[in-house]
Amino acid sequence: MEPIWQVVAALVKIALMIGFAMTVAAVLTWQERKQSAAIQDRIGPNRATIPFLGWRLWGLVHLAADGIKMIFKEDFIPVNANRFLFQIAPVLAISPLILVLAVIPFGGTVNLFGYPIPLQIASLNAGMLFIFAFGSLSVYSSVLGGYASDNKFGLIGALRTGAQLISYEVSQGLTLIGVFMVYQTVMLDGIAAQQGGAIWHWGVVVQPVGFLLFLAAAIAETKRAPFDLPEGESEIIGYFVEYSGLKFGLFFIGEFMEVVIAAMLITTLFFGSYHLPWLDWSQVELWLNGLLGTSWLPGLITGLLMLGVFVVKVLFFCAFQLFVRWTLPRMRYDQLMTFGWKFLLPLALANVVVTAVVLTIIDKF
Amino acid sequence: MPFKYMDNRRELNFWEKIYYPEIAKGMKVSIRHFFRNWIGKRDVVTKQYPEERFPLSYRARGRHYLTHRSDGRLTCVACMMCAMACPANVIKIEIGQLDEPYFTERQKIDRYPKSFVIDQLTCIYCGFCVEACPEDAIRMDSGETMIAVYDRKDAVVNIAHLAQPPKPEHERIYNPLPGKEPVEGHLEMVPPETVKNREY
Repeated sequence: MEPIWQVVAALVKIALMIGFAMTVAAVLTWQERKQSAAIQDRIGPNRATIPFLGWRLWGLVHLAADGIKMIFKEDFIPVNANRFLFQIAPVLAISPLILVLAVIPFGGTVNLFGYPIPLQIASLNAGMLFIFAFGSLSVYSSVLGGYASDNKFGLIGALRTGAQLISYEVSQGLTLIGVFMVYQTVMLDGIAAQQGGAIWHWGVVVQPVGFLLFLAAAIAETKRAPFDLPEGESEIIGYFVEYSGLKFGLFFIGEFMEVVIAAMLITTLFFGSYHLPWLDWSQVELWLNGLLGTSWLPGLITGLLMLGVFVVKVLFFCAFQLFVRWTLPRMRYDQLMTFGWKFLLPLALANVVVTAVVLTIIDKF
Repeated sequence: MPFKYMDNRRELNFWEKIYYPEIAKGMKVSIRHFFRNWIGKRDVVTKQYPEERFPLSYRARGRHYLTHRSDGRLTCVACMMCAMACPANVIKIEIGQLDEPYFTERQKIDRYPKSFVIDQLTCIYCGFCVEACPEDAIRMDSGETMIAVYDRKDAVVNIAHLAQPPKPEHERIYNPLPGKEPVEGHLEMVPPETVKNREY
């Protein structure tokens, strides 16, 4: 393939992925309010209207209203704040999350104009390790944000965030080692490709304990209830006390981006990514080839179908995380640390050992 | 008395200690509520204020108003009982005495309020004036509990304002700015029984 077309294909994939993640993150702010309202027998936001038309669109107009509000709010910087770190913290909150999107596959390989095109922005051989590396960068945003704003509550929130995220990153990594052992790779496209075919190839079937532990660790990494000690919107004040306007908006949307990425990881690692059980996408493409002739159309349709399956699964796990957030009360800090170090970590290690033993037995016999 | 620490919590069993089964139980409740309110019967508790309101109690005390006699005059005889009873001292009455040539001696004794001023912001809405009134001339059962003004001095109301009968229920709130109509849609006043948009 000519380099220019490779660039075009990469740009299209980047636009798709960032567009999807940002849109879902924005809509999640609405969905969280509506869903929590329905869970708690309330109605939820429905007051913002489109001017002159009077449409309320089930409260969706609140997205625009919130955005406009944040843009016109005062961009406040405390007098004694470290201006550089204060300004760079919200950027650090969201840029690693966008980078992480690069290695998440949203489809297999399709043929367009006779060229194989993998539906993944970058197929790095580091794969999941890349996600761990950049995911842990988001600790810096909250620690710097709390530290630079010269506010003792911000600093305490930053310390809490640092302790929590570092504790749970250990468990998050260890819970996935079982998955890596089963699929013999850390590349996400490799893991996704091996989950095709029968449903017992899915990660959740071969690693059920690993899935439950990863779910807890991933929700803890998103800094949301029941692990929302870094913020605790209503009472304990977190690391972004001093932020206002769009800088706060970046932290806010970053939190929902983390939800989307956690849902993407759960989908990719444990729920068959773009696969449907017992459905072989290459067979679908071949069948479409026979139906429509060899052109760009079968590849495009197959790619869109794979993307659709992936999107539906991701949206399901986003909604699932919102259900968790509105079901569970917040943990006490000692409970949080106990859960992380005395429950998740030993179980993750035990999971690794059991997986290794089982794999060896299967290998020998 | 020595402090005794009481811990009445029972010991958790194994399934409760590993969190997940209990979380699943809680999730079941959330999901049931969510789907019932989303696609099933919507038994939401929210009132869509201001279109929907809770009914006021029949004893609710609202804006004061002065009652009228059958011939249209105010019932008030300016006896000053309400002003005496008022703990906040917000009722200011100026006594007038009718003196027409054709009046009998009995009628010349009758007094009437020349001016009747109540400061609605200082008033504590205790209802003592109503209880003190021997003529049932002042009442507070107007149902107008949401009094909004654009200036503090507008809350000091005179006899012309007090003589107005209570408004019907759907006109009770939102005093638009003087000389301005209520804005379409936003400040629209809807009778509660016509509210259709209990939308999600």
